[in-house]
Amino acid sequence: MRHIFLRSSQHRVILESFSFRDPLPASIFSATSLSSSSSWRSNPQQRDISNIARERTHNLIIRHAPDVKISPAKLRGSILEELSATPNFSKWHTILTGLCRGAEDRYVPADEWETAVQESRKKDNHKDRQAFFGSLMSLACSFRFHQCGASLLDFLHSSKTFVNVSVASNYVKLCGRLETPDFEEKILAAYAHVKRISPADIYDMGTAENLIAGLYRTSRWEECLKLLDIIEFTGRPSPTALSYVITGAFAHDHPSTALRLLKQLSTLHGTFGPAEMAFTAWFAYAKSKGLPTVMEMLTFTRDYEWFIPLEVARDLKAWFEKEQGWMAKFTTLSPRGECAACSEYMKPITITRDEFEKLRENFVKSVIEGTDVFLHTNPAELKRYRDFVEKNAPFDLVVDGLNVAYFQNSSNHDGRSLARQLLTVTEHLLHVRGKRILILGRMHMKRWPKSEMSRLSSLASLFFAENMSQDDPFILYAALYSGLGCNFLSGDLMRDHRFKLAVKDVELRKTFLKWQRTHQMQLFKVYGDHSASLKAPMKYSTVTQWTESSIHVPYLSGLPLGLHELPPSWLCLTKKLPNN
Amino acid sequence: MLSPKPFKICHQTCLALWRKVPIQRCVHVAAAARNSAFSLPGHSSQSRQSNEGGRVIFRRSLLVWSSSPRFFSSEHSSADPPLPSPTSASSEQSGESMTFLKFDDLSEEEQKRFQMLQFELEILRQSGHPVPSKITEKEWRKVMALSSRFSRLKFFRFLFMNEMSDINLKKKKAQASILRQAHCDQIKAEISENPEIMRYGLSFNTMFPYIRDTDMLKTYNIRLAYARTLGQPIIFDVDYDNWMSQREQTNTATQIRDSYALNKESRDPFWLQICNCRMENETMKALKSALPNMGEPSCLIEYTTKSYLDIFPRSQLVYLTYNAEATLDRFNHDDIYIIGGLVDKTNPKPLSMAKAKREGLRMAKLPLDTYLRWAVGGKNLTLNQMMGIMLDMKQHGDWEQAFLKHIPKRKYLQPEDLIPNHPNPYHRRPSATMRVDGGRIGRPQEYQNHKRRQRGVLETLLSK
Repeated sequence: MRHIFLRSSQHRVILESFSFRDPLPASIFSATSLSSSSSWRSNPQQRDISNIARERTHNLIIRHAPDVKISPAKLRGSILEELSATPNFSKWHTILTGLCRGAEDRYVPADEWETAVQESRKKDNHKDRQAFFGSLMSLACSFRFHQCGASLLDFLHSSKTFVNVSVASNYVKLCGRLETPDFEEKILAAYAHVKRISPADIYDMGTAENLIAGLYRTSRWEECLKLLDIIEFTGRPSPTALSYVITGAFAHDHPSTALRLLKQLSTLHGTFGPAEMAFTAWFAYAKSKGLPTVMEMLTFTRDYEWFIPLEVARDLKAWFEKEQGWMAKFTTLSPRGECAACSEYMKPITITRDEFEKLRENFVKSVIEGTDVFLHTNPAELKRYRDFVEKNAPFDLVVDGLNVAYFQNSSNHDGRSLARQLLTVTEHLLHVRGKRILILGRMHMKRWPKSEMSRLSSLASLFFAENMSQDDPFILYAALYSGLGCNFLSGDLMRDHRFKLAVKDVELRKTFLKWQRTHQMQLFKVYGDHSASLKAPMKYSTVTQWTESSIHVPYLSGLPLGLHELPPSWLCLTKKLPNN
Repeated sequence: MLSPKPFKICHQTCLALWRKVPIQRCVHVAAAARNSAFSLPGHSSQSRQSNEGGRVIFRRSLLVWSSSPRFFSSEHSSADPPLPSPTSASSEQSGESMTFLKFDDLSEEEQKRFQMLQFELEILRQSGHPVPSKITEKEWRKVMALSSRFSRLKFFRFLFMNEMSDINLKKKKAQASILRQAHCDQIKAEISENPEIMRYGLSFNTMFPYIRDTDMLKTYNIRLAYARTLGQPIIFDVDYDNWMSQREQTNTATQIRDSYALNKESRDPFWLQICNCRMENETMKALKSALPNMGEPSCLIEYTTKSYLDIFPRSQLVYLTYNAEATLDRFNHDDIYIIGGLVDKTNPKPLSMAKAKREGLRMAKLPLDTYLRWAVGGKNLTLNQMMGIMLDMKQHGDWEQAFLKHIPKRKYLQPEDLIPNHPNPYHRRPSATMRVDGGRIGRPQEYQNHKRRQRGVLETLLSK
């Protein structure tokens, strides 16, 4: 949801005005009974074979596959996401609601389609005329209007209009969301049509993803793998497309393929995990195999730093309670990493000596000097700073002076109040931690009142960078130089430095993130001129972890998280002791 | 010209041969029997090609399928035969043919990718995305260089917008010419009614002589030539090619072109120089196509591969960059100002500041905060805005007037809305005491001295 709103301001306005005042169609949530299929009537033998095949796949899907039904809030979110990608959607939406009488899915008769086409022919330009059927089908697909989509297809059929790839591929996707058992033959029929139009297996990314979104549920799901290869020709497969195929692979008992795809997802999209659907299918498969496979799944999520969604966490909880007879609770952790349910401490984040040395070596090379030393500093200043740090190190805390001085201080930029705030925080830090502090600032801070500045210099070491230099790399340098015992205090998230540190080396970037999480302190609040409260560095690692008697799984509760944030919600699973 | 391998000659290749352009082969994939039952209005089964201004342009129906008589539908009535399996589809008569464009220099892999991109364009058109109706070969090659679907979508949208603005411009011109014609006809009719009456006004009796564009151009060129010999130089430093995206490189070129036009039309132009330019760079290529006569005697713009350090004394050079610490309070007529030829829309970095620091040059920023209350946007200005401000400063030395004229209005709060000494800094007018000479309008003494010096040089030259 969040990233839709950020995508474009223009869309945002439209999307916000596009409120869901009209209730969503009831048919979305109930199993709609579409007109029952009768295509095999002419050939009874063939019909039997197909029925057997269908029942077999249906059983499989009942055993493993996720429910196609989704909650109203999720549905709304996914509709909004799809609409934001549809060009000119408000116009098509008006036509669709006109045809469907508000937000109700219904079988639109051919004559109404005819009038709608004629009206749009009159008004529209050439471009929109071509896009009429494709856009309406994709919109029907977004809203899950199965009957409407089917009626559009029948209209094209009766008026002998050519069914183009856009319409057919969106119909495949629509049928992929169908809940009635005849989805498979519909998907396969539409897929065969698309194949007939493009016999050389040439698809673009959008078509291929639409086809995957339907095909993964059918017996021909393995062709999705071919489609993924086709996508790689012109781009990289999206997490959604990969999630569909993963779901298909788990549902059809092909765990090796699914695990290969999960690895691919991790290499392509990093910590951006599979969709909820894929996780559900994964867990459904794992629980049918027993506890070792479930643990394998949890190991996988730990190694790739993925978090399971809420629905799967609920399933996991229910399964452990019922099948395994464990105690299961949703909990949170204390800042020190203590589980509120079982009082067990989480494992700390560990950085090995070697990792840290590697990080330190690479830091100056790639961040401070980078491609051009002059972008952030100049060689003379860099030398002056390095000499200064060598002489005065090690520090226990490095403070971003300007960041602290300007914290909560957006209106009053007079030197005295800025200097006083910095002094207050420094005194508080000395009082609480009583250690050697380095404060980094810029040259213009020398113009701040003498009384405060002299007191500050008696409390801590001060270094002033030039006004045109960046001070963040200097802070990180001093903190890294002083070793693993040194923390730093800054509100800056240092994302650009993290990126520069290792454009290609993913491991190094991960090490930096670990180090940053365990060593960065942030100001929480400054109380007048006497004390301050701080956010301490993280003490525990937010990954799935287990001991002999318990398992702790972090999960995404659905509340919005920042890009750098980790989920605060945990699932605590403990073995019941025999005497209890 | 024919390649040794025989291939199916179609309409496109015939046209290509006839127009003596490089051959783009037109290949029919799965050319089965085409028995079209019905086709959408936009889909003609023939792809056309035309030559506009020496470039090959392929019409929009590059990718065409004739339609199939066989459909699938949501419900299959009992009269319908069972759906054919995909294997049997090819053997039947209902095959479709798609016509793909082919470039000869592509490998097989690239060719397949190219076909997919063409397919993608067609699908985008079917699903209502803004895509252009025709794409040139040069543009196709740019599309092939784009790796993600989103960037291709953006590029297609850009081409579509260009196409639409062209069409709208043509429409407007046609309307204007109709109006003009009607006006002319009316006047002709009036004259034919009473031919005796004397008429005054433009294109009738008037005291003003008609000045042609060529005459104006001569005047401009005389001024530019004067600036070339004795005037103050100004430098565009186009050394940032590697830091810019393709779009930014083109923008840089167009902004330099606009600056050249501003300079040319000014009363007192600069001697415009472009330094550090390498003709193989994209920026210079784009500039060459924006100013086709660059390098000829008719275009008084200087460009060298040398650095400004090799041409001018270091003490006179001042690099203008918004990251600088010092403010350019006063426009100095003896200094040589350098403007970084850099457009940084996506990833702004203090590149020009770093360069000036490395070369040990003086650097300065414009006194924007002294004269304006900034509203939105960065304090970096486009190259033509910089050029306009510097030209105005050279003429009258009034910062405020120059800023108000050349900086877009959205970027600052209007001076008439601001109040001097208002307690809220947002409404407070920037203090006049900060300004040089209190921000007075008129030429400062330095300018007079400069003019006097120039006159002296001229006199000595003439006396020789």
